[in-house]
Amino acid sequence: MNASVIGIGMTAFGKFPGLGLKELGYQALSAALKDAGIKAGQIQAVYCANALASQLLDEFTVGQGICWEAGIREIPVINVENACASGSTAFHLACIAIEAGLYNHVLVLGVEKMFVGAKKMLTAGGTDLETDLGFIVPASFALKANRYMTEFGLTREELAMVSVKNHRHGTLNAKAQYGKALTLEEVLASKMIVEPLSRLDCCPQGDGAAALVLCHRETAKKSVRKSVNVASSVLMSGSYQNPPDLARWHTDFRAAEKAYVQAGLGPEDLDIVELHDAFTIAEIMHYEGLGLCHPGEGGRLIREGATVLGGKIPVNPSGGLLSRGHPVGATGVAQIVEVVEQLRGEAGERQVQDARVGLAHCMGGDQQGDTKNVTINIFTV
Amino acid sequence: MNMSKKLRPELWEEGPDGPNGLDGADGADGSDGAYGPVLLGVACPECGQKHFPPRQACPNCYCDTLVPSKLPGWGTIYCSTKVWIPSPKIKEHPYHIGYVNLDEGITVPAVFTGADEYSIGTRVQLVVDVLRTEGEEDIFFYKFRPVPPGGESR
Repeated sequence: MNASVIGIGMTAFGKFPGLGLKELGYQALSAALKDAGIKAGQIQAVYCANALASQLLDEFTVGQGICWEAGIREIPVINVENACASGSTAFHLACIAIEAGLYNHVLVLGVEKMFVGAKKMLTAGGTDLETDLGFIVPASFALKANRYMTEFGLTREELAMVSVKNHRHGTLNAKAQYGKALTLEEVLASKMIVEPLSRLDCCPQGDGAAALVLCHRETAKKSVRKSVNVASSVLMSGSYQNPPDLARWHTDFRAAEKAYVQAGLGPEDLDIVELHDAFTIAEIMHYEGLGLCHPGEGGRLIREGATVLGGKIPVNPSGGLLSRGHPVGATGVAQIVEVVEQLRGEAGERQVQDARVGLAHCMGGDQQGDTKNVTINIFTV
Repeated sequence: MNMSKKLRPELWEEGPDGPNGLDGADGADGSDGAYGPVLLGVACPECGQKHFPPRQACPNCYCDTLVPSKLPGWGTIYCSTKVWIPSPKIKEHPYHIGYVNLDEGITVPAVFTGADEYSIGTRVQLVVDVLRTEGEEDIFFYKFRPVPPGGESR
């Protein structure tokens, strides 16, 4: 593809009662522009991801609100909602816009404010049959875990190891919501939510924002920053197979194949992966979906330490959703911020040595046991 | 006595054999012309695939003239989990949910009732039961329960 990332910015993720959507969004936007060394007036289009403001804050057209703060006007501002993959979908749209040759500089924003007083339980969809049947979001992952553990013999401890690894990575990321390491015993002893998933198998809610500046690869050569190229960008809706196969994420397989073909790369070329670990079981299944191992081998991969920093293929060095946090609309953008930092060699204590190829994977929504969206973006330097 | 209300009655109905399908002396499977609760799905006239909940078009062949199809609620548990926190729709917890592979070859979401655990492969049947209570009103919906010994007459 012709798009490159030349600027990144993000707020810390966490609980920020004093900061609204516009403050969070503006902080990330402003940091990304400074990083890219460009002025707000040079931005020619904005794709702003937000998933929950209409539900939680009675807000809409969030992107224009944040752009107003920055003085950005008279350009296309597109608000994007695709559940947990809203941010990565906004990024995908920005890549297409660059590919089409429409704009020189495009801004991608992801912003979410989830701590809004009374806690509201989020469901897959207000009118979905599953919602009426009490299928809360972690339940659809627990059902995958039930099938996966039965078919492949994955253990409860192996699931918990994902949380331990990602929380350990999170201690190296000043912007992570949780900065504390966890023991296997702490994960196993945490409150049961939906069997077999305990509280610490689940990502937290959070507030936060992240932003990216994209431009054409040729323009990027003149950038003040080391540019990171987009090798492929795939967005795909679910397969919704019935009968389903909940132990193998076929939507992942399909999207990964497409992304690897588009990039001319394979899983063996990857140096670092950020993937959608909303729940521990999801990370195990995405190892397989992305081809990091064969189906059924995800438990072995985590047990042998292949995906920890220093391992064969580090996964979620940022701490992932489990530790960095999951302000829904911001997550897909924050994952790309991490991949770019890694490929620039600027990730500090969590730097993966000589990282040249990175992948960001995100998913959003539930429909009939499948995801509604998957995005896979591959980056190279 | 509580008032009662049917939740989403477009998706299920009680058969003449009553809410648990076993009120008739024989023929719980419908062999006597009577039957227990059924799910109200649709079938594709072109490829024969059945769907539940009903949808406008068949994802296999994109046929958009699907016809109503009653699904007798017999099947096996495909997967299950126990939810330990209240959901916006079901406050009384823990509760058990999962997916059921119906004998008609499709998989449907389910709340389970009638046992303490629900393992993969357990034979289950459709029943009608209280899903939750809202004030004085019992809200009825479909559930699945393990088939009692000898309860499956086919």
